[in-house]
Amino acid sequence: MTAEVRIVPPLPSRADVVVGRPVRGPTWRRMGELHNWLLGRGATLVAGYNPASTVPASSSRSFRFYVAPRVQARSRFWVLGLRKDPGGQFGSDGVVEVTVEGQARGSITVSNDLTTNLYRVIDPIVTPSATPAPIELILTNTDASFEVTVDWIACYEVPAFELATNATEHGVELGSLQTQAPIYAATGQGPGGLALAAKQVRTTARRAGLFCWAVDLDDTSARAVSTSATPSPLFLLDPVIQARRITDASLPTVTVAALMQASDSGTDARVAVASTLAADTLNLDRIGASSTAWGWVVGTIEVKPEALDNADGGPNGAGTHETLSFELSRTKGTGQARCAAVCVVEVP
Amino acid sequence: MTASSEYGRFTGWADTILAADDPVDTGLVRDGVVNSLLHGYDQAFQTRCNWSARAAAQATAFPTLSTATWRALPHALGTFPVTLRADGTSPILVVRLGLVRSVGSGTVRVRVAWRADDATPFGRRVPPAIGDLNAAEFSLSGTSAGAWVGSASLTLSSLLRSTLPTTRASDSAAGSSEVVLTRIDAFAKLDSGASGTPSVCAFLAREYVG
Repeated sequence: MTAEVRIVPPLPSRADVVVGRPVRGPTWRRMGELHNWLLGRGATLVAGYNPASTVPASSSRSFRFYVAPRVQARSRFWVLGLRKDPGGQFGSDGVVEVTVEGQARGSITVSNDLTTNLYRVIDPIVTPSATPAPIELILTNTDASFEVTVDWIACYEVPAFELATNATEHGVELGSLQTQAPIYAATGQGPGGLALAAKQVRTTARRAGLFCWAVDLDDTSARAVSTSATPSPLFLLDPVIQARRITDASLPTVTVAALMQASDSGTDARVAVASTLAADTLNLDRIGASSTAWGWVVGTIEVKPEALDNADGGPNGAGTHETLSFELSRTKGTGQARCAAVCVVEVP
Repeated sequence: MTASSEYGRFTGWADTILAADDPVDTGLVRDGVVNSLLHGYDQAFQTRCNWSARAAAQATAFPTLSTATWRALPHALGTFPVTLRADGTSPILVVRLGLVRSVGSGTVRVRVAWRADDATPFGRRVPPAIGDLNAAEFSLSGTSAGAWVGSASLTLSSLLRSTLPTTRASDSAAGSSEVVLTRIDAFAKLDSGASGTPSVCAFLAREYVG
């Protein structure tokens, strides 16, 4: 028996835990199975989006994301929507090489059928971590004649099939949660170990990636640029942010990261963020001499969470959504304020 | 829906409530451990797609539309894994669609449909009927510089399992995990007398425990 992670979660019944009666062995077991499922099933890292980007012939494009992974994940998989342009029925298939965090992750044969096809790329995680950090996806088009259009990018963690029963992964040994087993407390074992490990659910069983948009830093037709002190929207429509309900007393916060640069040291750049329902604001500023290098600027903002008493979880009733607005502006100088990525994540 | 947990939020408890050889305080276990595990379940469902184009030029246009046939969007709105509910069924998938249409008149209809990734593809011109639980229809009249045209809740009955490779933490042994992979396709058609082709400029697909 191990700290197995199932695809379907069992639910312990509240009615099985009644004051004055012992908690039955099967109930402990179900609690342990649910606990392992919550920590091990994996999260969204990059919610699917269309970068509206192209990879020129014999060139590369780099997409940088700020992600909040789970330490329990050992692999993730990318979903890439690629189209060879203009392939035509007489052309050959294209080849795109995929690199993640400097590791070659194989080649994709891009069909010349003139349509966008979705390709899955398995990406073993070199150093599992729960620390929010940037990751870089590089797509290299090896065709010398034709460009490749990137119509979709997404990344999801591959669920774990078994957790380690240690203080890092917090898996619980299911064999220690049996009928007539003694109450004892050891890391990852017994009801005591479960009670300790279950505290991780609040921080680990997150909706890790809520929104991501990223394009190549040097893709002048795709990145956002402002030469005005008047803020202009980064997106045509404000993205929806559906955060978890943590407590009743306070609004949850989400972490917003923007990859920004100013074209010269006398220019400052700002991404202003505002939540519609929670009415909170956040300014992400890239200022000073170092602003001429691309860098992540990170902050937090309150949002209104999911409401479990509504049919679709809408925060203010069915059909309602919390959204974040993003506006780019130049707050100082005469150069360009630039932005090449915005990511919204829930961090531990 | 009704929350699975007793309090609809996370609760705390002392580390020592289940110390070795101590009797179990069932009230603390119920209010703390069971409640938080069940609330964690309610909140474990993920945002799978969340796209908002920077500008109309970066939205995805449908092929030239007619009043006679449905036409599919040139790319699917993602392949993504689905979090299964405790009864083995799909969660509710809340989809929200944004459209832009710079020229045109009359009403354009857009149907989005959810299916298992390995299931038989929809015909390029034959979306599921609107009465199906895995499809929803939206419409846009006249022109728009970009607008959300509505949201809908979908469910999926065909949940085909596949496996993805991964490794075990304790000894790095190779293995695989079962997943349910699905995808969304979009189709559009003009009403009688309408003209003008829209583009999809935003799309949300988020799971909800339901």
